[in-house]
Amino acid sequence: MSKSNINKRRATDLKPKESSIILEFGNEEMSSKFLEIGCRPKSPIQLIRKGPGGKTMYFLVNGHAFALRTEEAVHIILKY
Amino acid sequence: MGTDEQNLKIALIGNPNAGKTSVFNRLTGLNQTVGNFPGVTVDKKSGTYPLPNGSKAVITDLPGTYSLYPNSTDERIVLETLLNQNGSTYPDLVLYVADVNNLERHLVLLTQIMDFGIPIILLLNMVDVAHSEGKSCEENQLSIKLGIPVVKINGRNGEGTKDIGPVILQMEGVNCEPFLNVEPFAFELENEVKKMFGITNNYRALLTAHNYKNLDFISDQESTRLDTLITELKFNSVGLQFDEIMARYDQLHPIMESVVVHVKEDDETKTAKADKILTHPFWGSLIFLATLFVIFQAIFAWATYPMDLIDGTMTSIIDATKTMLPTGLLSDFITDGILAGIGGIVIFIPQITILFILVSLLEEVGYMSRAVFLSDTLMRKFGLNGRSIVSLISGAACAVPAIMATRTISNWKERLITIFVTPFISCSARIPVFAVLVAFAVPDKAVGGIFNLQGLVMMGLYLLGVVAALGSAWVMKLILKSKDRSFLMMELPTYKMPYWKNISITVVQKVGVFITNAGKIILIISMVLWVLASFGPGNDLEIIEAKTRSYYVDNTISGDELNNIVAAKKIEGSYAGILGKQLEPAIKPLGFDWKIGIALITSFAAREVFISTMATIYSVGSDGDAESVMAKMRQERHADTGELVYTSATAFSLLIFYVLAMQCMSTLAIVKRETNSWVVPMVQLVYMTGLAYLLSFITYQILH
Repeated sequence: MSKSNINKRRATDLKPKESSIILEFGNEEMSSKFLEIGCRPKSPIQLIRKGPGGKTMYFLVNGHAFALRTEEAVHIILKY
Repeated sequence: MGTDEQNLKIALIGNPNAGKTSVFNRLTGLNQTVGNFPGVTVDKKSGTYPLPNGSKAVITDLPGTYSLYPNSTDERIVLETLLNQNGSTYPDLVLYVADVNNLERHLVLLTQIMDFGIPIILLLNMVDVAHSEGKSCEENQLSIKLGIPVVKINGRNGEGTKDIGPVILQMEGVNCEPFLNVEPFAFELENEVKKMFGITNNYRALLTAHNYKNLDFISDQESTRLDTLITELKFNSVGLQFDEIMARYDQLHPIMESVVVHVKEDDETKTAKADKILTHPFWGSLIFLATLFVIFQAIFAWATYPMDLIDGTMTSIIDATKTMLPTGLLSDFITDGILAGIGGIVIFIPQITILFILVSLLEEVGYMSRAVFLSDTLMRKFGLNGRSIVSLISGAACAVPAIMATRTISNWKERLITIFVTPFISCSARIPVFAVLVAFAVPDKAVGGIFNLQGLVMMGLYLLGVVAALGSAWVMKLILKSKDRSFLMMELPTYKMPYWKNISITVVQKVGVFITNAGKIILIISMVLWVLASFGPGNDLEIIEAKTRSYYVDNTISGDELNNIVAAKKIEGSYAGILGKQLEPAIKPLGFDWKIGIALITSFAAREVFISTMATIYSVGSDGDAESVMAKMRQERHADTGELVYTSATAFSLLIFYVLAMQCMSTLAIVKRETNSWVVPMVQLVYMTGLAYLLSFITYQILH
């Protein structure tokens, strides 16, 4: 679990079509929920697009599609 | 179905979108019953499955869940069923459905259930889909590595399902070896819990410690004891959940690497291509609106044909019964009480069936989760969840199934608000009332060449319902406080061709649930109302009848006309008439007289009863058509002032009242069932009717 949450690259920083790898999760409560849907450290993640209003995001994680809110996605911390 | 004790009890478990329902329908066909899980409101679907040795198994389809750490009521059922060994639904064996395309994630829950030691069989589903996407699985290897039987099946065409029976017989009573050693996670606590409940299984103990606050079978005393233990032993529930699931993935990953063969990399699949348009912020939203339009078109336009047919059939049945039975109270009770009540139920079936077909079709092909994705941002502004959209759409047919559809919303505040505001969406029972009153108050003329003024007003009434729903939701968002986290976090499954067998079974079951839930109430109220309208204090009604008949004795009116006038006079003197008159001072500021008062009361069975009540009161006979009622209404004058009763001010005031007021007993009953108390339905009754009263009052006073 991360200790300092500043200066980390997050899933919300991805631009549409951009891919990365999940490093860890920034929120303990959310992290087991992420694991359940198959989002876990080392999983490849790609932002497909944002939803209307920009508050929801369409991701491809391990090749499977998920919808997350930005306040959920912000807890996904990416490599480097 | 035979006694549950003798039959093998099988639970069907799997992740959402694993294709569990198809498998369930394949195995049990139409031998299904819908009941309730003890103490909760989640529908329990069970069905019988014949085993090769001639005995029967009872398969229960449990809600789809990702893990044994539940978020919603639906998911809690799975945990509760597996943890409560003394429960009536505790399974002898688990059939676990997993999608080969997403095997690693789907097997996490499987490994959790394995740790209970319950006999378990893994069903690998949608084999052909996996093959075309370039994945295949060595099921024999997987079976050896997991230590449980694995059967490859295709829930859609039934391939492989016949192999399940023999495996069940082999596995009966063969307990499963745990997959993960959970002892190190919370050694001391697990031992304490084991002692406390007299159990031996480590994982059962660990899950009890994680979830005891949400388990119905844990007593308050046990709960307090666990509170102390957890503090003493510094049990970090949230952190340990993460560690446990991570440990499962770590152990599963090498197994997956060795059994799942990737033939080629997934390139841009059909789903990705479709989603480019369907989830596009602009085009996707436009398509979603068009979809809504088609749904409404279907409910309003296409449903009228079967509805007219049902209406005609019911009228002829009632007429035939009337001629067959000797005239008298019994005949009246059967025709106007029972048969009219049944007619009030079946008339909704076409619209509800069409709506369920379309909604389950959208769910089946995978579009509904896209609709949720597209509407979440907007819905949240009003304190709702993207998932609320399903309920709001369904509410256009009937609030009863719509409120039941809120169960997938995990956050209680969002779920409560959805339940609270859904009845504002104009349901099909309001349509006939709107149609009569709009035709009465608004001239039938074209506006701007293409629109019809009456049509525009009808649309305005629907919009008023939507505005009232969203506005009330927004106010509730400000009032209600909730610490619960709200989730969207949702899988967007690949698009699939609809499997019609699933849709037809779902539709049949949901219509059945509607008939038994709402139908029962409509029928009872219809009978009660008949009693209220047919009897009065003492022998008042006989006196009224005798007086009326002697008054008209010299007149040359026909027998039917006289009977209608007698009926009208009698309802005025009946208990219903008395109630209406007592109500009159309260509703006079809205422009309503006691006759409308009676109709407001009878509308509690179902709003469209308004028309037949007005027909009775205006002595055109209870099966009188809308036009003859309107003709009578046009002539009606206030007894004291001589002014016309039905001005457009009254009609608009009444329309607003019907849009907003809570006038449906079935809805109140279902809200009580879903929220487990009378508080929410009572607040809803007072709030909605109060708002209706206020706005009708303003409307009438301005227009008058």
